[in-house]
Amino acid sequence: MRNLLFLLSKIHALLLFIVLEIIAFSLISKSHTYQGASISNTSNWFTGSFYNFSENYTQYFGLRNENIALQKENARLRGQLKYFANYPKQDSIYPKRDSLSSYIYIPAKVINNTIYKTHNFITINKGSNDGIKVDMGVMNSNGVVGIVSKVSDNYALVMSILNTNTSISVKHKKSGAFGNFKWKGFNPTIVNVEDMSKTANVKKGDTIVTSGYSTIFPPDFPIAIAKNVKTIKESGFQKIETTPTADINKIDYVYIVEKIEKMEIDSLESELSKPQLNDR
Amino acid sequence: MTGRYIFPNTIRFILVLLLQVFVLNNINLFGWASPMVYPFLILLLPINLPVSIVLLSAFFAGYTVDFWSNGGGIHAASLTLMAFLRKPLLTQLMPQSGYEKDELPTFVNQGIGWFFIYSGIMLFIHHLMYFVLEAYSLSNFGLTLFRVLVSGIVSIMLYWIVSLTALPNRKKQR
Repeated sequence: MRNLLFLLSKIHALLLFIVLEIIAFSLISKSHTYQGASISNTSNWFTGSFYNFSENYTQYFGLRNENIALQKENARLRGQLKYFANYPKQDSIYPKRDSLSSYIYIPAKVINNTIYKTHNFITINKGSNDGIKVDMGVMNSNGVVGIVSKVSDNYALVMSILNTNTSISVKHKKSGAFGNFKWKGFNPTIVNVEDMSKTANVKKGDTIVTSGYSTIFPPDFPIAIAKNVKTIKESGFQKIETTPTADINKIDYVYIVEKIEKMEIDSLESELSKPQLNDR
Repeated sequence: MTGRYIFPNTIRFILVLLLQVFVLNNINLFGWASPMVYPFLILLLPINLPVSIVLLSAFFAGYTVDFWSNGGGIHAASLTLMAFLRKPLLTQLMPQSGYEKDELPTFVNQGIGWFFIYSGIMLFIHHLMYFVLEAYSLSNFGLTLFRVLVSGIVSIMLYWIVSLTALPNRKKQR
């Protein structure tokens, strides 16, 4: 009898262990089903509002650097403004709008962020109520940050570029050769560019920009600077290690990019032109 | 037997989980070492606490950390595994005189060498499971192993610093 009880007590622990592990593993596999996106705990309202609350207090520490970054961006945009002021008006041979104008930018604040995992995610304080949708691009003034992978009402989870499942189509700014921007894990300052043709002849210090092949990011936006380039013999490719231009460890504010559909732009413009006609 | 442990352990669980989620999860040394103190919650439970309670506490603590850090269930899975292997390891490491009733497996009670082996093996099991699940593949296993070792060393060092400064002279604390 005592032996039987002893056996039972041993088995009940084993059974409990198996049940708990099954629960844990089903949670894990569930979290890997959607595009490799983790189940969005930090984008649900409970944890989201809590992180938002703590971020409200910790954000002051980064305010100085944030101001400097905004100042730099302002300066850059002012420069562009001057350029566009001289841009020829309508009904000239130039196209009405360039590729940049068909994207809108929604500002958001980062409320949770990691860089030390293999699959890193960023939580931001904008969600479907603010028009955020899955697969929108996320960037800051320096470069590409990630891609939205899950959205709740007021928060969204962003697959950071420091996530081994993230892959972004990029091109070499000088030669225009295309490649794939993919993190190998481990070092947050090194991201690889794969499948870029050897003929591109990438050199150290060259800029890598978004390709615009997918509609997620506007084309020609900086994403990384080439750091180490090795040519592999007997292959058509170079082994390119780059440093992302956006410092993921220090991001506070980001923009979510949305490509406006062409139809939408057209209807918007026709609406705009009507009152103008009446004025004349 | 366990009634008097409930209150102090609940407080300890809450404090350590808050520390883990809001402080330590934001720390990463050199970019690849993440200190983890929450396994010590399970490590330091009384030696003869029923295994089922240890398992449930481990699952609860692990899932809490998962909930706050997009873990899915990786903390819960690895901490539950560690909790399950705790009893066999304690039996293996049992001194010739055996454990006293309601003894706590701390370095004050069991000696520094004993505790170093005990916490080292337990943390290795936990970290190995955690980092394999986190990488979600066995490719690049060398890198995973490296992360296990570095994070394990950092976690142990952190625990020693905290316990040596915060808990002086608490001999045979019950």
